[in-house]
Amino acid sequence: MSKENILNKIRRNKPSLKEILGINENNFCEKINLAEAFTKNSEAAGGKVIFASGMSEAVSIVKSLLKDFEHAISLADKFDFGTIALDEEISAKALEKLEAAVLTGQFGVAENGAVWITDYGLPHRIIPFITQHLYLILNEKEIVENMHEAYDRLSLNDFGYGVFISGPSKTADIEQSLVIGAQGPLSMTVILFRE
Amino acid sequence: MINHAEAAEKFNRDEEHVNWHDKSLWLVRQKRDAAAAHFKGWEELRNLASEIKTHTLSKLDQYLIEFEEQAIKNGAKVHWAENADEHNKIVFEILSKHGAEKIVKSKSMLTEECGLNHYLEGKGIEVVDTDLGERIVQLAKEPPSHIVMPAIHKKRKEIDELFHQHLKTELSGGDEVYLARAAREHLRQKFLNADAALTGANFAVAESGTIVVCTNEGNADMGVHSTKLHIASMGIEKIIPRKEHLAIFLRLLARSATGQSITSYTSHYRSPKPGGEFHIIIVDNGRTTQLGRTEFRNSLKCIRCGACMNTCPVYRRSGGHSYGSTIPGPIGSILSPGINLNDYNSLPFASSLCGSCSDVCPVKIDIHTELYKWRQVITKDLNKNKFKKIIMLDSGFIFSHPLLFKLSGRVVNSSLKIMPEFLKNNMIKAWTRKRELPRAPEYSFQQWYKKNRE
Repeated sequence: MSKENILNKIRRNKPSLKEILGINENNFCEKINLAEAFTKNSEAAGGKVIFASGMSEAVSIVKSLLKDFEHAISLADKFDFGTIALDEEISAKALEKLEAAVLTGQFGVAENGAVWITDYGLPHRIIPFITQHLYLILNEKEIVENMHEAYDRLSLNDFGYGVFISGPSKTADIEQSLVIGAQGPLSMTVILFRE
Repeated sequence: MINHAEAAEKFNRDEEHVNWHDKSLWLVRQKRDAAAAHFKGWEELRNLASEIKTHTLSKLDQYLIEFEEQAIKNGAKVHWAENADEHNKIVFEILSKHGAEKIVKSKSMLTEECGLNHYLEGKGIEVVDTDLGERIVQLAKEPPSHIVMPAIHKKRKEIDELFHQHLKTELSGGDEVYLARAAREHLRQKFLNADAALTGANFAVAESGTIVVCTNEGNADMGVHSTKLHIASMGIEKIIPRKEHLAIFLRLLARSATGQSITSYTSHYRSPKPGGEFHIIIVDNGRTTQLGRTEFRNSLKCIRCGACMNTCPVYRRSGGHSYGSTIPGPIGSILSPGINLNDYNSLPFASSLCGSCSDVCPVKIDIHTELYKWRQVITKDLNKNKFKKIIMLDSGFIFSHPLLFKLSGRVVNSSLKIMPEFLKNNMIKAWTRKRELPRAPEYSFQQWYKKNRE
C-alpha cells in the first residue's frame, strides 16, 4: 500500500524524461604510473605500502611482520601461517582477540589507494574490520587507474559483500585532530609484489 | 518554530570558539579545493553527476521497482515507508520479531530525520550511535550539528568531561588519541554484544540491489558484521541506476566532503550474511512532495557531502544547531522548508546569497538560487518577519513614484539620526546588532543640486 502510494506520487510529480548521459572515461584518464600513484595515495590515507620483488619475498616479509602476534589469520594463498582455527561457524566474538589478518586484494585503485576485497573465501565478513592490523597482498599488475576502471572490472553480482579499503580506520571527530585507529584496524599495510 | 538569527546569536557568545569553528571548516573547504584542483575532468564529473541525478529523478519510480526486485533476488527484505512514523514502526516490528534489544547504529541522517533513536528508546531498546562524533553528541543529548562532522561544535574539553562521566575515563585535558582509544574499546564491546545493526545508505544501485555505505571509522561494518540482523534505511533519492555511476559519485563524495580521495571503507552490501537477515526500508517522508516542486526538486540530488556547509560564511559562524533541522546549512535551508514551511521559514534568510555553496556542490544544485526562491515563496505566503517585508516591498513601490521617493529620502535622512538606538533595542535587533547604520548626510543630493547647480 505504502509502496503504491509512494510510486504513484513519484509518477505524478517527477520531471519529464531526461535521457541518460554516457561516461567518456578517456576524459578522466591521466596515464599515471599506477604503482607510484597507488603508493602515494595509500600513504595519504594512512596506509603503509611495502614492496616485494616476488611472491617468495612477500611471504617472508609477511612472516616477519606476523611473528610477534599471538592471534593471526592468513587467508591469502601461500600464506598459511594463521594461529586461529577458522570454520564456517566462527562468530564475531571468537575473533575479538584477532591481532593480524592477511588477505589477498583482488585489485587496487591508483587514484585513491583503495583495494577491493569481497566475502569470497572469507570465513567471516568482520575479519578485515575486527583485526587490530590488516595486511593486504596485492599483485602490482592488478592496479587500475581510477574508479571508472575499477567498476568496469568488478561485477556487483559476484559477491554478497564487497568493500574498497583504502587505509586503516580513522577519525577526526575530536576538534578535527586526526587519530589513526578508530573502530576498525589500527593499521593497514599493503604488500605490493611483482611477479 | 526556528529563529535562526536568535539561535546564531547564542552560538556567537563564545567568540574564540566561533572563530575556531569558522577556521576549521574553512580549512576543510580548502582541502576540498586542493583535491578538486589535482583532478582531471573535475567540472565534467560534476556535470555528469548532476545530469545522472536528473535522469534518475525522471525515472525514479522505475529504478525503485528495479532496485526492489534485485534486492529481493539477493535475499534482502524490502519495506516501504511513506513517513517517519511508518519507518520507525517498521524498524520496531523487525527488531521485535528478533527479540533485539541492543542496537548499534552507524551514521544515518534519515534516521535522525525520523527521530528513530527517541522512538526506539521509548520502547525500551538501547540504541548506540557508533560514529565517534555521533556517539559524542548522543552522550551530550544533542543532535549532530554537521552531517559529516557531527560534533564539530564540541570542544575537546567538553568531550573529555563527557567521556569521564559516561565512559569512566581519566580527565586528560582532551587528548584526542586517549579519548578515541577509549571510544574504540567502548564501542567494540557494544558491537560484539549488539542484537542488530542499523545503517543508512550513501547509494543504492538499482541494477543490482546493492546498498553502498562510506565510513572512515569502520563502524558500519563492525556493526553489520557483528550481528545477524542488518536494517538499512534509505531515502527514495539515494537510487542510482548502475554500477558505473558509483564511480562518478564516489570520486566526488569524499573529495567534496573532506578532501580525501575516498573514505577508508566503501562497503557494498548485497545479500545477507549466512544465517542472517538483511532488511532495506525505502522512505519517502516528504521527498515526493519536494519532487513535485519544480523550483526545488534539484535539492533531491544532494549526496550529503557537507561541502556547502563548510564553505558557507553564515554556517561557519552560526553553527549547525542554529538551523534547528536535521540537515543544517545551505542545503538544509532548502530541504527543511519543504518539510515544514512554518517551522523553518527563517532558514532561507540565513544566507548572504554569495553563491559559494552552488560553486562547491558536487552535483551542481543551484543552492543559492533555490534559497532566493524560498524567500519569495515565504515573503508572499506568510506574513512573517514584517519589518523586513515592509522595507523590501515598499522600496520597490517608492522607487516607482518620484514624489514619494523625494519625500522618503528626507524621512530616512532625518530618521537615521534618531533610529539606530531605537532599532537596536527594538524590533529588528538581530539585523542591527552587528551592523552600523551610515551617518546621515547634512543634506540630500537633491538639496545639494538645487543649491549649487540650479
